[in-house]
This record gives sequence, structure tokens and C-alpha cells, in this order.
Amino acid sequence: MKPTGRVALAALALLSNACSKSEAAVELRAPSRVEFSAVSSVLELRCGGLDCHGGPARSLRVFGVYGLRWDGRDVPGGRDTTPEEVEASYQSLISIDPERLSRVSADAGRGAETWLPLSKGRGREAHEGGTRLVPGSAADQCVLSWLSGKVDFDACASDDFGPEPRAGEDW
Amino acid sequence: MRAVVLTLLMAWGCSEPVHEREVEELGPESPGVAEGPLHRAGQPCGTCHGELGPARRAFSLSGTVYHAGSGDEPEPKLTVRVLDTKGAQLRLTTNDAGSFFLPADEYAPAYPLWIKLERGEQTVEMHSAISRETSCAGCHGRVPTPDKVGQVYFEMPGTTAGGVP
Repeated sequence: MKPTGRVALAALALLSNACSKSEAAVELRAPSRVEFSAVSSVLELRCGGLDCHGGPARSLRVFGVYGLRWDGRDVPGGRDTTPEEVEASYQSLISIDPERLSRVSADAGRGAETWLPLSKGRGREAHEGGTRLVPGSAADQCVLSWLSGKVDFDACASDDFGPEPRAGEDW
Repeated sequence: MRAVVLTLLMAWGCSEPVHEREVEELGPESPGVAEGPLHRAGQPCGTCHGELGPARRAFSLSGTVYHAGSGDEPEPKLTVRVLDTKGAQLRLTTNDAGSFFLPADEYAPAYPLWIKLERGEQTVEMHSAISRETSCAGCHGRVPTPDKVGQVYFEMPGTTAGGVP
């Protein structure tokens, strides 16, 4: 057989294999939707600005008062984040790296640091927005606890993301 | 012939059609306003004053502050305070068009940035951080929409302050 013939045969075999059978549906697990509201508040402020994940051009979209609005009648900076926006952010977040999220979720949060959104948020891998979830911080604890299946509401509520002037300087 | 084709391909490959369209959409200069610090108030300065040009100098931060939430009246001689994530602070002053800008070769921001407008005792603080955008108008449109805040403004004492979320 000529080399070109072998290539064509191999390609045909690959194609037929790819099209011949569909894989069985795999059920993936995701952390709690009910308790996500507390996590959403943290993500909205830290990640959901209009020039980051609060913009429509991102794979991960964080909806809310500081960024993208779900309802076309709302504007950024307007009324507070709505339940529909929390739901939309949740759906967007759990769709990122879902297989790993499922494993993390099934294993009570073990290996959470490798899940793409957390890995990027912690600055563990390239992230245009830098480190937004400093390991050990309240925001980090909030997200980790959600991934482990038991949200630390105190950590979520105590997150304080804002300007930090140097000692002795006013702001 | 081959060299000509290669040159054409290279020229084609180096164009940035999205950026070119963004520049084009800004339209011509306003009549009576010369190209310079007072031109194109309210527009996203960074579109032209970015690494892709066509302006010669890139800005790392720029914008226009208006007197009120609607209308064209600028807010000149206003202090724009900037605080970066390392705690470094800057104070800029808006010009007669209400605009301010920082050349990129003079200031490389450590994001996120926090912004505060200040005149005397009155201040208006932006509640969310800037994470990468170099132009206020990248997020602030003249009219609020679901993905844009309205224009940046600073109302005088006695009124409700706040033009930024």
C-alpha cells in the first residue's frame, strides 16, 4: 500500500470509530446551589467587575451589582444582585473544568486547589487578574468551604475587599 | 513574485481588524477641538492611546469626569486619586475638558486599582476595583446599560454624590 493510502485508511478508521458509538452520559457532581449565595457575594466583588468576569466576553461570567446584569432593565451599580444573577453565576462557574469540579465535590473538597477557577483565582497559574483569592484569606476559605460541601458563612461574610493604603497614609 | 506575496501576507497578518474597527467607530474629531489633551472627552482614550496605536503615546489610565449624571458639562480641576494594590497613591487633576490621563511610560499600574474623586471635603469613591481597563469609558458609557455604568460624574455639595458603583 502506498503511504498516501495508509494515511487515508487510518483517517477513515479514526473517523468511523469517532462516529460509530456515543458514549454513555456521565453524571457530574457540583457543590451546593442553595449555599452558593454567600460565595457569590465574594466573587461578585473580587471577580465580577465590568473589566473582568463581570463582562460578557468571559468564559466565566459573574453576574451582579458590580458587573454584568441578567435583566436588561438593570444596570451595574443599580439594584442589588438578584436571585437570577446568583443562579446565572452558579451555572457559569460550575461549567468551568466540570470533571475536576465533580471529583473535588465528590471528595469533600480534596484537591480543590487544582480546579481551574480556584487555581487561577489563587494566582497558581496564569491569570490576567492576578491573585484574587489569597490562600488562607476569608475569601479563599469561603470558596474552599463551599467546595468541601460545608460553607463557612462567617468566612464569606467577613471577606473585606477594598482599598488598603499604606500605614500612616489616608485614603 | 514570491517576495511580493510574502510581503502581502505579512502585512495582512499584522493587521488588527477588531482594533481598527474600534478606532474607526470613534469617528472624526469634534469640530473646533484640536487633537490634544482636550479632544475626544468621554471616549475610551485607551483605544487609540494603547499599544496598538494609532496615537503615539499609550496611557495606562485615562478618563473624563462630568459634572452630573447626564449632560456634557465637564468637571475641571477635580482631584482624581488612585490607589494601587501595593498601596502606591497618585493624585491627578482633570483638565478643562474634565479629562485626566497617565502615560504608560510614567505609570505601570499594580492592579487592582481603587479610584476616588475629591474636591475639598467632598469625595466620591468608586466601590468596585479596576482590574485591567485603562479607560474609564471602557466600563462607563454616556448612558447606563446592562453591561455599562453611566458616565463618571461628581455632583456639588448639597446633592447626592456618586457617579460610580
